[in-house]
Amino acid sequence: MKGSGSFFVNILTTILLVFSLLAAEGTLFVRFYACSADTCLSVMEEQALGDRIYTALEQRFSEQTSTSGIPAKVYMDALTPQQLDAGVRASITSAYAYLHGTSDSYNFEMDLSGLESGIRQFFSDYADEIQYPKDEAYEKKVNAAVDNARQQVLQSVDVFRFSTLESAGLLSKIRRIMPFLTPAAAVSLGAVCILLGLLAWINRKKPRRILYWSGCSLTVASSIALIPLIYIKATDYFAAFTIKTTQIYAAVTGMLNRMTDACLVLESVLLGCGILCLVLYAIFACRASRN
Amino acid sequence: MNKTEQTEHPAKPSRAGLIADLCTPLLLLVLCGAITIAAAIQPYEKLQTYLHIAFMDNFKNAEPQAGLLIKDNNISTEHQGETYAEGEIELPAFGEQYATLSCASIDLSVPVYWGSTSALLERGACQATNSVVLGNPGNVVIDAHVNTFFAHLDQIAVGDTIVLYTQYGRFTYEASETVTFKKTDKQYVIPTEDDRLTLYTCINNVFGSSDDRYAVICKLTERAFYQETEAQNP
Repeated sequence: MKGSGSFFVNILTTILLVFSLLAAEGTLFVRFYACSADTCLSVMEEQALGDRIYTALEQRFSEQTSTSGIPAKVYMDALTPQQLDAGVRASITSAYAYLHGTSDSYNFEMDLSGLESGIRQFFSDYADEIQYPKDEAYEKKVNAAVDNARQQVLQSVDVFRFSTLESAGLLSKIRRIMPFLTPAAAVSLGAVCILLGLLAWINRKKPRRILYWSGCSLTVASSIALIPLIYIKATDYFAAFTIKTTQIYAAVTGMLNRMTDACLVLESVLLGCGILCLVLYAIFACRASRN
Repeated sequence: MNKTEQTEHPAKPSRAGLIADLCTPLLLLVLCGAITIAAAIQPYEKLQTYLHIAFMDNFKNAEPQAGLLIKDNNISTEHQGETYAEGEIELPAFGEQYATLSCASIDLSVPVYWGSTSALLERGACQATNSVVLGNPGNVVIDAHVNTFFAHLDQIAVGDTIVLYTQYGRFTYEASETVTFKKTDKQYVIPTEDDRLTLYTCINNVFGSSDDRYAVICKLTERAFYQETEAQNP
Protein backbone atom coordinates (compact mmCIF):
# COMPACT_ATOMS: atom_id res chain seq x y z
CA MET A 1 0.00 0.00 0.00
CA LYS A 2 2.87 2.34 0.86
CA GLY A 3 4.38 1.55 -2.55
CA SER A 4 1.18 2.27 -4.44
CA GLY A 5 0.64 5.40 -2.33
CA SER A 6 3.98 6.88 -3.34
CA PHE A 7 3.31 5.78 -6.93
CA PHE A 8 0.15 7.90 -7.11
CA VAL A 9 1.88 10.84 -5.43
CA ASN A 10 4.62 10.55 -8.05
CA ILE A 11 2.02 10.41 -10.84
CA LEU A 12 0.29 13.52 -9.52
CA THR A 13 3.57 15.40 -9.11
CA THR A 14 4.64 14.37 -12.59
CA ILE A 15 1.37 15.58 -14.12
CA LEU A 16 1.86 18.95 -12.43
CA LEU A 17 5.47 18.97 -13.61
CA VAL A 18 4.35 18.29 -17.21
CA PHE A 19 2.10 21.35 -17.25
CA SER A 20 4.68 23.48 -15.45
CA LEU A 21 7.24 22.50 -18.08
CA LEU A 22 4.80 23.37 -20.88
CA ALA A 23 4.08 26.73 -19.24
CA ALA A 24 7.77 27.46 -18.75
CA GLU A 25 8.65 26.48 -22.34
CA GLY A 26 5.77 28.52 -23.72
CA THR A 27 6.46 31.72 -21.76
CA LEU A 28 10.20 31.59 -22.33
CA PHE A 29 9.73 30.92 -26.06
CA VAL A 30 7.23 33.75 -26.49
CA ARG A 31 9.22 36.22 -24.39
CA PHE A 32 12.69 35.62 -25.80
CA TYR A 33 12.05 34.35 -29.32
CA ALA A 34 8.63 35.22 -30.69
CA CYS A 35 8.60 38.71 -29.16
CA SER A 36 12.13 39.48 -30.28
CA ALA A 37 12.58 41.99 -33.10
CA ASP A 38 15.66 40.04 -34.21
CA THR A 39 13.52 37.03 -35.13
CA CYS A 40 11.27 39.21 -37.25
CA LEU A 41 14.21 40.98 -38.88
CA SER A 42 15.93 37.73 -39.76
CA VAL A 43 12.71 36.51 -41.42
CA MET A 44 12.67 39.78 -43.36
CA GLU A 45 16.15 39.09 -44.70
CA GLU A 46 15.48 35.43 -45.36
CA GLN A 47 12.36 36.24 -47.41
CA ALA A 48 14.08 39.09 -49.32
CA LEU A 49 11.07 41.29 -48.60
CA GLY A 50 12.65 44.39 -50.14
CA ASP A 51 12.79 42.72 -53.57
CA ARG A 52 9.27 41.33 -53.25
CA ILE A 53 7.85 44.71 -52.28
CA TYR A 54 9.68 46.36 -55.17
CA THR A 55 8.18 43.89 -57.65
CA ALA A 56 4.70 44.23 -56.11
CA LEU A 57 4.84 48.03 -56.22
CA GLU A 58 6.04 47.97 -59.81
CA GLN A 59 3.10 45.75 -60.75
CA ARG A 60 0.63 47.89 -58.83
CA PHE A 61 1.81 51.17 -60.29
CA SER A 62 1.77 49.59 -63.78
CA GLU A 63 -1.83 48.48 -63.27
CA GLN A 64 -2.77 51.95 -62.08
CA THR A 65 -1.36 53.65 -65.16
CA SER A 66 -4.77 53.33 -66.82
CA THR A 67 -6.44 55.30 -64.04
CA SER A 68 -3.65 57.58 -62.83
CA GLY A 69 -2.03 58.37 -66.17
CA ILE A 70 1.37 58.19 -64.46
CA PRO A 71 3.82 55.61 -65.87
CA ALA A 72 5.18 53.14 -63.31
CA LYS A 73 8.72 54.27 -64.20
CA VAL A 74 8.12 57.62 -62.49
CA TYR A 75 7.62 55.84 -59.18
CA MET A 76 10.08 52.99 -59.58
CA ASP A 77 13.02 55.19 -60.57
CA ALA A 78 12.76 56.84 -57.17
CA LEU A 79 12.65 53.59 -55.17
CA THR A 80 15.16 50.77 -54.56
CA PRO A 81 14.79 47.35 -52.88
CA GLN A 82 17.34 48.47 -50.28
CA GLN A 83 15.23 51.51 -49.43
CA LEU A 84 12.15 49.31 -49.08
CA ASP A 85 14.15 46.88 -46.89
CA ALA A 86 15.00 49.82 -44.65
CA GLY A 87 11.31 50.71 -44.54
CA VAL A 88 10.35 47.20 -43.45
CA ARG A 89 13.10 47.29 -40.84
CA ALA A 90 11.82 50.64 -39.53
CA SER A 91 8.26 49.29 -39.36
CA ILE A 92 9.31 46.17 -37.42
CA THR A 93 11.67 48.04 -35.07
CA SER A 94 9.05 50.66 -34.30
CA ALA A 95 6.37 48.03 -33.61
CA TYR A 96 8.57 46.01 -31.26
CA ALA A 97 9.76 49.15 -29.49
CA TYR A 98 6.11 50.02 -28.85
CA LEU A 99 5.30 46.47 -27.70
CA HIS A 100 8.22 46.41 -25.29
CA GLY A 101 7.30 49.83 -23.90
CA THR A 102 10.41 51.67 -25.09
CA SER A 103 8.28 53.82 -27.39
CA ASP A 104 4.92 55.48 -26.74
CA SER A 105 3.44 54.85 -30.16
CA TYR A 106 3.83 52.86 -33.34
CA ASN A 107 5.18 55.37 -35.80
CA PHE A 108 7.86 55.07 -38.45
CA GLU A 109 9.12 57.27 -41.22
CA MET A 110 10.65 56.66 -44.63
CA ASP A 111 12.53 59.16 -46.70
CA LEU A 112 10.37 59.40 -49.84
CA SER A 113 11.57 62.82 -50.98
CA GLY A 114 12.94 61.28 -54.17
CA LEU A 115 9.54 59.78 -54.96
CA GLU A 116 7.77 63.09 -54.33
CA SER A 117 10.14 65.10 -56.49
CA GLY A 118 9.88 62.51 -59.29
CA ILE A 119 6.09 62.75 -59.37
CA ARG A 120 6.12 66.57 -59.22
CA GLN A 121 8.66 66.68 -62.06
CA PHE A 122 6.55 64.36 -64.22
CA PHE A 123 3.43 66.44 -63.68
CA SER A 124 5.35 69.65 -64.35
CA ASP A 125 6.89 68.35 -67.59
CA TYR A 126 3.55 67.02 -68.82
CA ALA A 127 1.76 70.27 -67.97
CA ASP A 128 4.42 72.22 -69.86
CA GLU A 129 4.11 69.85 -72.82
CA ILE A 130 0.35 70.29 -73.16
CA GLN A 131 0.39 73.87 -71.85
CA TYR A 132 -1.85 72.99 -68.93
CA PRO A 133 -2.19 75.85 -66.43
CA LYS A 134 -0.49 75.16 -63.10
CA ASP A 135 -3.41 76.44 -61.12
CA GLU A 136 -5.00 75.35 -57.85
CA ALA A 137 -6.65 72.33 -59.43
CA TYR A 138 -3.29 71.25 -60.84
CA GLU A 139 -1.63 71.57 -57.40
CA LYS A 140 -4.48 69.58 -55.88
CA LYS A 141 -3.98 66.78 -58.42
CA VAL A 142 -0.21 66.70 -57.85
CA ASN A 143 -0.57 66.62 -54.06
CA ALA A 144 -3.18 63.84 -54.33
CA ALA A 145 -0.84 61.79 -56.56
CA VAL A 146 2.08 62.31 -54.13
CA ASP A 147 -0.06 61.38 -51.10
CA ASN A 148 -1.40 58.31 -52.88
CA ALA A 149 2.11 57.15 -53.78
CA ARG A 150 3.40 57.74 -50.23
CA GLN A 151 0.48 55.80 -48.76
CA GLN A 152 1.01 52.89 -51.11
CA VAL A 153 4.72 52.64 -50.35
CA LEU A 154 4.23 52.96 -46.58
CA GLN A 155 1.46 50.37 -46.68
CA SER A 156 3.62 48.01 -48.69
CA VAL A 157 6.52 48.07 -46.22
CA ASP A 158 4.16 47.43 -43.30
CA VAL A 159 4.21 43.74 -44.17
CA PHE A 160 2.97 42.53 -40.79
CA ARG A 161 0.14 45.07 -40.90
CA PHE A 162 1.11 46.60 -37.57
CA SER A 163 -0.91 49.71 -38.46
CA THR A 164 -4.05 47.59 -38.87
CA LEU A 165 -3.34 45.80 -35.59
CA GLU A 166 -2.86 49.16 -33.91
CA SER A 167 -6.10 50.63 -35.20
CA ALA A 168 -7.92 47.47 -34.09
CA GLY A 169 -6.49 47.96 -30.60
CA LEU A 170 -4.62 44.65 -30.69
CA LEU A 171 -1.13 46.14 -30.46
CA SER A 172 -2.00 47.98 -27.26
CA LYS A 173 -3.56 44.81 -25.80
CA ILE A 174 -0.37 42.85 -26.53
CA ARG A 175 1.65 45.74 -25.06
CA ARG A 176 -0.28 45.43 -21.79
CA ILE A 177 0.44 41.69 -21.60
CA MET A 178 4.18 41.96 -22.42
CA PRO A 179 5.41 43.03 -18.94
CA PHE A 180 3.82 39.92 -17.44
CA LEU A 181 5.69 37.47 -19.65
CA THR A 182 8.97 37.55 -17.73
CA PRO A 183 7.32 37.10 -14.31
CA ALA A 184 5.15 34.33 -15.78
CA ALA A 185 8.26 32.57 -17.08
CA ALA A 186 9.93 32.98 -13.68
CA VAL A 187 6.89 31.57 -11.88
CA SER A 188 6.71 28.59 -14.26
CA LEU A 189 10.42 27.89 -13.85
CA GLY A 190 10.01 28.22 -10.10
CA ALA A 191 7.15 25.70 -10.21
CA VAL A 192 9.32 23.31 -12.22
CA CYS A 193 12.13 23.58 -9.65
CA ILE A 194 9.74 23.09 -6.74
CA LEU A 195 8.11 20.05 -8.34
CA LEU A 196 11.51 18.54 -9.19
CA GLY A 197 12.49 19.09 -5.58
CA LEU A 198 9.28 17.43 -4.47
CA LEU A 199 9.99 14.45 -6.72
CA ALA A 200 13.48 14.24 -5.25
CA TRP A 201 12.06 14.27 -1.72
CA ILE A 202 9.37 11.67 -2.49
CA ASN A 203 11.95 9.35 -4.08
CA ARG A 204 14.74 10.09 -1.59
CA LYS A 205 15.05 6.39 -0.72
CA LYS A 206 15.32 5.39 -4.39
CA PRO A 207 17.25 8.27 -5.97
CA ARG A 208 17.35 6.77 -9.46
CA ARG A 209 13.54 6.98 -9.58
CA ILE A 210 13.99 10.76 -9.85
CA LEU A 211 15.52 10.11 -13.27
CA TYR A 212 12.53 8.00 -14.20
CA TRP A 213 9.87 10.52 -13.19
CA SER A 214 11.83 13.47 -14.64
CA GLY A 215 12.23 11.52 -17.88
CA CYS A 216 8.50 10.76 -17.95
CA SER A 217 7.56 14.40 -17.43
CA LEU A 218 10.00 15.65 -20.10
CA THR A 219 8.87 12.99 -22.58
CA VAL A 220 5.16 13.62 -22.01
CA ALA A 221 5.47 17.43 -22.05
CA SER A 222 7.46 17.46 -25.28
CA SER A 223 5.15 14.86 -26.91
CA ILE A 224 2.06 16.97 -26.13
CA ALA A 225 3.73 19.96 -27.80
CA LEU A 226 5.16 17.94 -30.70
CA ILE A 227 1.88 16.40 -31.86
CA PRO A 228 0.25 19.65 -33.06
CA LEU A 229 3.59 20.96 -34.37
CA ILE A 230 4.09 17.83 -36.49
CA TYR A 231 0.51 18.16 -37.76
CA ILE A 232 1.14 21.78 -38.76
CA LYS A 233 4.35 20.86 -40.58
CA ALA A 234 2.93 17.73 -42.25
CA THR A 235 -0.17 19.52 -43.58
CA ASP A 236 1.72 22.73 -44.45
CA TYR A 237 -1.05 24.48 -42.56
CA PHE A 238 0.31 27.99 -42.97
CA ALA A 239 0.40 27.73 -46.77
CA ALA A 240 -3.38 28.25 -46.65
CA PHE A 241 -2.89 31.80 -45.37
CA THR A 242 -5.67 33.80 -46.93
CA ILE A 243 -3.86 37.03 -47.72
CA LYS A 244 -2.05 36.41 -50.97
CA THR A 245 -0.32 39.78 -51.34
CA THR A 246 3.21 38.58 -52.10
CA GLN A 247 5.19 40.37 -49.40
CA ILE A 248 2.57 39.90 -46.67
CA TYR A 249 2.20 36.21 -47.49
CA ALA A 250 6.00 35.73 -47.47
CA ALA A 251 6.48 37.69 -44.23
CA VAL A 252 3.65 36.12 -42.23
CA THR A 253 4.11 32.52 -43.39
CA GLY A 254 7.88 32.92 -43.06
CA MET A 255 7.50 34.09 -39.47
CA LEU A 256 4.99 31.35 -38.58
CA ASN A 257 7.13 28.63 -40.17
CA ARG A 258 10.25 29.97 -38.45
CA MET A 259 8.52 29.81 -35.05
CA THR A 260 7.15 26.34 -35.77
CA ASP A 261 10.61 25.10 -36.72
CA ALA A 262 12.12 26.63 -33.57
CA CYS A 263 9.44 24.98 -31.43
CA LEU A 264 10.05 21.66 -33.16
CA VAL A 265 13.77 21.87 -32.41
CA LEU A 266 13.15 22.84 -28.79
CA GLU A 267 10.62 20.07 -28.19
CA SER A 268 12.76 17.49 -29.98
CA VAL A 269 15.71 18.36 -27.73
CA LEU A 270 13.51 18.08 -24.65
CA LEU A 271 12.10 14.77 -25.90
CA GLY A 272 15.64 13.57 -26.40
CA CYS A 273 16.54 14.62 -22.86
CA GLY A 274 13.47 12.82 -21.52
CA ILE A 275 14.29 9.63 -23.38
CA LEU A 276 17.90 9.91 -22.19
CA CYS A 277 16.72 10.13 -18.57
CA LEU A 278 14.57 7.06 -19.04
CA VAL A 279 17.39 5.14 -20.70
CA LEU A 280 19.80 6.12 -17.93
CA TYR A 281 17.26 5.00 -15.35
CA ALA A 282 16.91 1.66 -17.15
CA ILE A 283 20.70 1.21 -17.21
CA PHE A 284 21.07 2.04 -13.51
CA ALA A 285 18.15 -0.19 -12.60
CA CYS A 286 19.63 -3.12 -14.55
CA ARG A 287 23.03 -2.63 -12.90
CA ALA A 288 21.44 -2.43 -9.46
CA SER A 289 19.45 -5.61 -10.02
CA ARG A 290 22.60 -7.48 -11.16
CA ASN A 291 24.69 -6.38 -8.11
CA MET B 1 15.53 -10.32 5.43
CA ASN B 2 16.08 -7.37 7.82
CA LYS B 3 16.02 -3.74 6.84
CA THR B 4 19.81 -3.42 6.44
CA GLU B 5 19.90 -6.44 4.16
CA GLN B 6 17.00 -5.00 2.18
CA THR B 7 18.85 -1.74 1.71
CA GLU B 8 22.11 -3.47 0.67
CA HIS B 9 20.43 -6.05 -1.48
CA PRO B 10 17.31 -4.55 -3.05
CA ALA B 11 14.83 -7.07 -4.43
CA LYS B 12 14.96 -7.73 -8.19
CA PRO B 13 12.34 -5.75 -10.06
CA SER B 14 9.16 -7.79 -10.47
CA ARG B 15 7.50 -8.38 -13.83
CA ALA B 16 4.59 -6.23 -12.69
CA GLY B 17 6.97 -3.43 -11.80
CA LEU B 18 8.59 -3.58 -15.23
CA ILE B 19 5.22 -3.42 -16.98
CA ALA B 20 4.23 -0.51 -14.75
CA ASP B 21 7.47 1.28 -15.60
CA LEU B 22 6.88 0.80 -19.33
CA CYS B 23 3.19 1.74 -19.28
CA THR B 24 3.41 4.71 -16.94
CA PRO B 25 4.77 7.17 -19.55
CA LEU B 26 1.97 6.14 -21.95
CA LEU B 27 -0.62 6.47 -19.20
CA LEU B 28 0.74 9.91 -18.33
CA LEU B 29 0.67 10.93 -22.00
CA VAL B 30 -2.97 9.89 -22.33
CA LEU B 31 -3.94 11.59 -19.05
CA CYS B 32 -2.10 14.83 -19.74
CA GLY B 33 -3.25 14.80 -23.36
CA ALA B 34 -6.86 14.46 -22.24
CA ILE B 35 -6.48 17.30 -19.74
CA THR B 36 -4.87 19.50 -22.43
CA ILE B 37 -7.64 18.77 -24.95
CA ALA B 38 -10.34 19.41 -22.36
CA ALA B 39 -8.75 22.73 -21.40
CA ALA B 40 -8.26 23.74 -25.04
CA ILE B 41 -11.84 23.11 -26.24
CA GLN B 42 -13.28 26.47 -25.21
CA PRO B 43 -10.38 28.64 -26.39
CA TYR B 44 -10.31 26.68 -29.68
CA GLU B 45 -14.03 27.26 -30.25
CA LYS B 46 -13.48 31.00 -29.79
CA LEU B 47 -10.48 31.03 -32.11
CA GLN B 48 -11.87 28.62 -34.70
CA THR B 49 -13.65 31.27 -36.74
CA TYR B 50 -10.56 33.47 -36.93
CA LEU B 51 -8.31 30.52 -37.78
CA HIS B 52 -10.74 29.49 -40.49
CA ILE B 53 -10.73 32.95 -42.01
CA ALA B 54 -6.97 33.33 -41.75
CA PHE B 55 -6.14 29.92 -43.23
CA MET B 56 -8.98 29.06 -45.59
CA ASP B 57 -7.30 29.01 -48.97
CA ASN B 58 -8.85 26.03 -50.80
CA PHE B 59 -5.99 25.95 -53.26
CA LYS B 60 -3.40 25.16 -50.61
CA ASN B 61 -2.97 21.60 -51.77
CA ALA B 62 -1.81 22.86 -55.13
CA GLU B 63 1.48 24.69 -55.70
CA PRO B 64 1.42 27.51 -53.09
CA GLN B 65 0.77 30.77 -54.83
CA ALA B 66 1.08 34.25 -53.52
CA GLY B 67 -1.01 36.78 -55.38
CA LEU B 68 -4.49 36.76 -56.93
CA LEU B 69 -5.50 33.53 -58.68
CA ILE B 70 -7.06 34.54 -61.99
CA LYS B 71 -9.06 31.89 -63.83
CA ASP B 72 -10.21 32.28 -67.40
CA ASN B 73 -13.13 30.17 -68.62
CA ASN B 74 -14.33 29.28 -72.08
CA ILE B 75 -17.83 30.77 -72.12
CA SER B 76 -19.96 29.94 -75.13
CA THR B 77 -22.03 32.70 -76.73
CA GLU B 78 -23.84 30.29 -79.06
CA HIS B 79 -25.95 28.04 -76.88
CA GLN B 80 -28.39 26.18 -79.16
CA GLY B 81 -30.43 24.08 -76.75
CA GLU B 82 -33.57 24.76 -74.78
CA THR B 83 -33.57 27.56 -72.23
CA TYR B 84 -35.63 28.16 -69.10
CA ALA B 85 -36.80 31.21 -67.19
CA GLU B 86 -35.51 29.78 -63.90
CA GLY B 87 -32.40 27.73 -63.34
CA GLU B 88 -29.34 26.91 -61.27
CA ILE B 89 -26.74 29.61 -60.73
CA GLU B 90 -23.07 28.69 -60.48
CA LEU B 91 -21.39 30.99 -57.96
CA PRO B 92 -17.99 32.23 -59.20
CA ALA B 93 -14.76 32.43 -57.23
CA PHE B 94 -12.92 35.72 -56.76
CA GLY B 95 -10.72 36.33 -59.78
CA GLU B 96 -12.68 33.92 -62.01
CA GLN B 97 -14.05 34.90 -65.41
CA TYR B 98 -17.71 34.06 -65.11
CA ALA B 99 -19.32 35.95 -67.98
CA THR B 100 -18.82 37.52 -71.39
CA LEU B 101 -20.43 40.92 -71.97
CA SER B 102 -21.53 41.72 -75.49
CA CYS B 103 -23.02 44.85 -77.02
CA ALA B 104 -23.47 44.76 -80.79
CA SER B 105 -24.17 48.51 -81.15
CA ILE B 106 -20.60 49.41 -80.09
CA ASP B 107 -19.02 46.12 -81.21
CA LEU B 108 -18.12 45.25 -77.64
CA SER B 109 -17.24 41.77 -76.40
CA VAL B 110 -15.35 41.65 -73.13
CA PRO B 111 -14.74 39.02 -70.41
CA VAL B 112 -16.29 39.78 -67.03
CA TYR B 113 -14.40 38.77 -63.87
CA TRP B 114 -15.87 38.28 -60.44
CA GLY B 115 -14.18 40.83 -58.17
CA SER B 116 -12.72 44.22 -58.92
CA THR B 117 -8.96 44.70 -58.56
CA SER B 118 -6.30 46.50 -60.60
CA ALA B 119 -5.05 43.17 -61.94
CA LEU B 120 -8.52 42.07 -63.06
CA LEU B 121 -9.34 45.46 -64.59
CA GLU B 122 -6.34 45.00 -66.86
CA ARG B 123 -7.89 41.78 -68.21
CA GLY B 124 -11.49 42.79 -68.71
CA ALA B 125 -14.58 44.15 -67.03
CA CYS B 126 -15.10 43.46 -63.35
CA GLN B 127 -18.20 42.83 -61.32
CA ALA B 128 -18.36 44.16 -57.79
CA THR B 129 -18.73 41.27 -55.35
CA ASN B 130 -21.27 43.23 -53.34
CA SER B 131 -23.63 43.20 -56.34
CA VAL B 132 -25.79 40.21 -57.30
CA VAL B 133 -24.59 37.32 -59.43
CA LEU B 134 -26.24 37.20 -62.86
CA GLY B 135 -29.55 35.39 -62.59
CA ASN B 136 -30.30 36.61 -59.08
CA PRO B 137 -32.76 39.50 -58.60
CA GLY B 138 -31.26 42.95 -58.08
CA ASN B 139 -28.50 45.18 -59.40
CA VAL B 140 -25.62 43.65 -61.38
CA VAL B 141 -22.78 46.22 -61.26
CA ILE B 142 -19.93 45.94 -63.77
CA ASP B 143 -17.09 48.40 -64.38
CA ALA B 144 -14.04 48.65 -66.63
CA HIS B 145 -11.35 51.16 -67.58
CA VAL B 146 -12.38 54.03 -69.85
CA ASN B 147 -9.14 53.83 -71.84
CA THR B 148 -9.52 50.11 -72.58
CA PHE B 149 -12.65 47.98 -72.53
CA PHE B 150 -15.29 50.65 -71.85
CA ALA B 151 -13.77 53.26 -74.16
CA HIS B 152 -17.04 53.45 -76.14
CA LEU B 153 -19.47 53.01 -73.28
CA ASP B 154 -20.74 56.56 -73.84
CA GLN B 155 -21.87 55.51 -77.33
CA ILE B 156 -24.47 53.06 -76.02
CA ALA B 157 -27.85 54.62 -76.66
CA VAL B 158 -31.13 54.07 -74.84
CA GLY B 159 -32.76 50.98 -76.35
CA ASP B 160 -29.49 49.22 -77.23
CA THR B 161 -29.25 45.55 -76.27
CA ILE B 162 -26.55 44.21 -73.95
CA VAL B 163 -26.16 40.46 -73.46
CA LEU B 164 -24.24 38.68 -70.74
CA TYR B 165 -23.31 35.05 -71.36
CA THR B 166 -22.36 32.71 -68.53
CA GLN B 167 -21.79 28.98 -68.31
CA TYR B 168 -25.26 28.56 -66.84
CA GLY B 169 -27.34 31.02 -68.86
CA ARG B 170 -27.79 34.06 -71.05
CA PHE B 171 -29.09 37.37 -69.66
CA THR B 172 -30.35 40.10 -71.95
CA TYR B 173 -30.71 43.74 -70.94
CA GLU B 174 -31.90 46.91 -72.65
CA ALA B 175 -30.24 50.27 -71.96
CA SER B 176 -32.79 52.49 -70.25
CA GLU B 177 -30.81 55.56 -69.13
CA THR B 178 -27.35 57.07 -68.90
CA VAL B 179 -26.09 59.02 -65.88
CA THR B 180 -22.98 60.78 -64.63
CA PHE B 181 -22.12 60.88 -60.94
CA LYS B 182 -19.26 61.51 -58.54
CA LYS B 183 -17.19 58.51 -57.44
CA THR B 184 -18.35 59.09 -53.86
CA ASP B 185 -22.01 58.87 -54.89
CA LYS B 186 -23.04 55.26 -54.36
CA GLN B 187 -26.71 55.50 -55.37
CA TYR B 188 -26.19 53.72 -58.71
CA VAL B 189 -24.04 50.90 -57.41
CA ILE B 190 -26.06 49.82 -54.38
CA PRO B 191 -28.49 46.90 -54.32
CA THR B 192 -31.89 47.53 -55.92
CA GLU B 193 -35.22 45.76 -55.86
CA ASP B 194 -35.67 45.82 -59.62
CA ASP B 195 -33.54 43.65 -61.89
CA ARG B 196 -31.00 45.85 -63.61
CA LEU B 197 -27.51 46.00 -65.01
CA THR B 198 -25.29 49.00 -64.23
CA LEU B 199 -22.23 49.47 -66.45
CA TYR B 200 -19.93 52.29 -65.43
CA THR B 201 -16.50 53.74 -66.04
CA CYS B 202 -14.46 56.88 -65.31
CA ILE B 203 -14.98 60.03 -67.31
CA ASN B 204 -11.66 60.74 -68.95
CA ASN B 205 -9.52 63.36 -67.21
CA VAL B 206 -6.37 65.09 -68.38
CA PHE B 207 -4.44 64.54 -65.18
CA GLY B 208 -4.53 61.44 -63.04
CA SER B 209 -7.64 59.68 -61.89
CA SER B 210 -11.09 61.09 -62.39
CA ASP B 211 -13.65 61.85 -59.70
CA ASP B 212 -16.52 61.52 -62.18
CA ARG B 213 -18.23 58.37 -63.41
CA TYR B 214 -20.39 57.62 -66.42
CA ALA B 215 -22.96 54.82 -66.19
CA VAL B 216 -25.41 53.04 -68.48
CA ILE B 217 -28.35 51.59 -66.58
CA CYS B 218 -30.13 48.70 -68.25
CA LYS B 219 -33.28 46.80 -67.43
CA LEU B 220 -33.52 43.02 -67.64
CA THR B 221 -35.53 41.80 -70.64
CA GLU B 222 -34.74 38.08 -70.75
CA ARG B 223 -33.39 35.45 -68.42
CA ALA B 224 -32.44 32.22 -70.22
CA PHE B 225 -30.98 29.44 -68.08
CA TYR B 226 -29.47 26.43 -69.82
CA GLN B 227 -30.62 24.03 -67.11
CA GLU B 228 -33.77 23.89 -65.04
CA THR B 229 -33.66 23.88 -61.28
CA GLU B 230 -34.25 20.48 -59.65
CA ALA B 231 -37.62 21.65 -58.31
CA GLN B 232 -38.89 22.24 -61.85
CA ASN B 233 -37.38 19.06 -63.19
CA PRO B 234 -37.70 16.37 -60.49
